[in-house]
Amino acid sequence: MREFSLSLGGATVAGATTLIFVNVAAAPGPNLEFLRYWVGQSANATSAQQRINLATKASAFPTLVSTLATPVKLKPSDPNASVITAATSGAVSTCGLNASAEGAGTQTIVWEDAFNVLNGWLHVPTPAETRVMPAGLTSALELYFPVTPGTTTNWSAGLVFREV
Amino acid sequence: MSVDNVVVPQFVVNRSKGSDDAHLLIGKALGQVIRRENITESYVCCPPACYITDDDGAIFTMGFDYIEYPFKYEFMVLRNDKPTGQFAERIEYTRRSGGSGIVKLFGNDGVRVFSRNKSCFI
Repeated sequence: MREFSLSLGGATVAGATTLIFVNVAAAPGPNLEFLRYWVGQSANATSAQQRINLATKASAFPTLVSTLATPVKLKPSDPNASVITAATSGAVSTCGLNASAEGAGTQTIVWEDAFNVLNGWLHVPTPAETRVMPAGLTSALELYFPVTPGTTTNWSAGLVFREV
Repeated sequence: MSVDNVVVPQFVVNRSKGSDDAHLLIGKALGQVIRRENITESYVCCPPACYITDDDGAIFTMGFDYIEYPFKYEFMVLRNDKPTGQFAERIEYTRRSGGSGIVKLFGNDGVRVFSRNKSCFI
């Protein structure tokens, strides 16, 4: 199995915003199976609830930060990097972090949840519930804040996917 | 007494245990330094919580190493980003009113409790 993590740290979010964005490769590239997702705030003293969404997004995609957005191999001896690479555009086979503009594409919420910011949010689907985004799909997966958090600084987030 | 300790009437505030301030708890999780003013509320489970801040200010979370069972995953439990050597499906933090908290792991290897004296799960 070839697993990769993609994470964001110490970020200031602009408001209701995409935290992590992954667009699958064109067919016949590998499908992506998403194993876990997390969101937390590295410094905060105020208990508050925050909504979080998993959503799919069709073109036009968000404008993203590509710095430090390269998926990291969980198996360092894996000779190959992920087919997903960092980019600001959200184009096919790319990923990015902390969107500065959301893009006009249709967003479809696939998982709605909420959490306390002091505890963070960790979503680990059981194997039968993992989300698989097949290669060639015309929409991407995103981790999304549907509302502006009470404190917009020091957010961290991430996900783990594997290429299958 | 260490110069890091502050003497105030009636008691000493010990700053040596992961804290740079009498009321700030500092730990690490998933590569981030986590700062909290309070330990986690009583009865919090990870997941769905991402972090648990224990009575020493240490942060427990799930790491990236995992074991896949037919209908569940178990992940390596991290304490301040260091592997504890234990795989678990769930980390649970409970605290009685006025008492100290207990960190427990649940998984295929049964229930394990974190020992603050030994700094390991037993």
